[in-house]
Amino acid sequence: MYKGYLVDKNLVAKDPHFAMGCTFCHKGNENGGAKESAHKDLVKRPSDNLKTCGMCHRQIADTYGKSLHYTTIGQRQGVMKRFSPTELKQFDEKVFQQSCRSCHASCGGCHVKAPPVGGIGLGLIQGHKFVKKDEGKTCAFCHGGRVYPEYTGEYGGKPDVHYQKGMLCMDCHKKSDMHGDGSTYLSKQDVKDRPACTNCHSKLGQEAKLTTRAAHTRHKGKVTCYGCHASAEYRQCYNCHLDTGSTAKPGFLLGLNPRDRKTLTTLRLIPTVRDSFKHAGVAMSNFDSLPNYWDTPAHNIRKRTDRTRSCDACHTDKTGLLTRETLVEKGSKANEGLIYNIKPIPINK
Amino acid sequence: MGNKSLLLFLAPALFSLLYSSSTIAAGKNNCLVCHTSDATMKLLYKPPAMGVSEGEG
Repeated sequence: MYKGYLVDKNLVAKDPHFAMGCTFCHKGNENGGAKESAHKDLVKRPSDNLKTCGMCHRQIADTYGKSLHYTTIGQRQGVMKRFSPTELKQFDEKVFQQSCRSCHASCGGCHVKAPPVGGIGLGLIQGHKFVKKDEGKTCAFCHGGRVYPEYTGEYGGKPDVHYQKGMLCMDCHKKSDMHGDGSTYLSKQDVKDRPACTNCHSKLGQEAKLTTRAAHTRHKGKVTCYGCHASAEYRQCYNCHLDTGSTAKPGFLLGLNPRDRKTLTTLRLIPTVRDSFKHAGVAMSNFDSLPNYWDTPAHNIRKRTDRTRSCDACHTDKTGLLTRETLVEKGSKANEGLIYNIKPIPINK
Repeated sequence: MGNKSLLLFLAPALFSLLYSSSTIAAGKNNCLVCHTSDATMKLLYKPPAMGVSEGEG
């Protein structure tokens, strides 16, 4: 849509980014009389090269170059154990660099022009204004397949209570999470000061209501907040192949956290299958070394859910709990290790 | 004398007009001649081509 390339002329006099002229960042030929000649050697996304913004925003550019949003290394880390050393090398060359890595966010992708997803984009966020944040036009695009619509309720469940209270992504995921803190993390799990419910909800076990206090005290260290407070089904993706993509349907899964087998949490099916990368000629000889389900911080939190209203939801009905029968077909052998055999609550306690 | 006075009178105004930040910016930003015009951008933009059967109800 042409409006995606329309610059707000009111910005020109006020915004210092315009002082050096468009071609300073975008190259091209500002004296070209026609579109084609003006766009010769045009750089569409100048901030893909961090040195562009880094000319003025040196410190941010330096730290951002190590951040997960830029490196996207977490995607590689999440799957690499499935490969032999030779397969990993092939994966890096043929898949990660060409496919996964294409999703990395440039400075402009968050601050100037909404990132295109599947070739479709919104264009300039606010007429080429360099915005500090606009989650609905940035985070929502890249994370619009799963987290964002689950958070807003568009996926079908009720909205997350934090969304209803007016909180958006940056209210929990701080600037340092996005820009990085100078450390090179290989996974979001390792990021220092990443969001945690207890950052705000710190007085667990001190509630006035007895049943709440008991529930929090008894489950502390055994069940994550999401285990009880995730309110609805969220997107589960299946059977992903490099050339054909994947399918998806709603589901709610509880099982042991693959990263911490002592804790029960919400799980999400990650759609890597045994021949996901067959199209690139890359096999996964150690496919069974990792499960197909990973812990997910379901972004559809509510105070009251089926599981907070009644202990029976889990302890008797076992609703949503992963079982041998519900495991994904032809999945990893490691999946069975995530099944938790929940015990009924003894009557006398 | 009259012409000289007129010129002296108009000089500051001419100076402001020629060397204001927006004028300078426009001079450096010929790209914006098109990119700030809704009508021009609409004219220049080519929507992606549709397949033969796409768009049919």
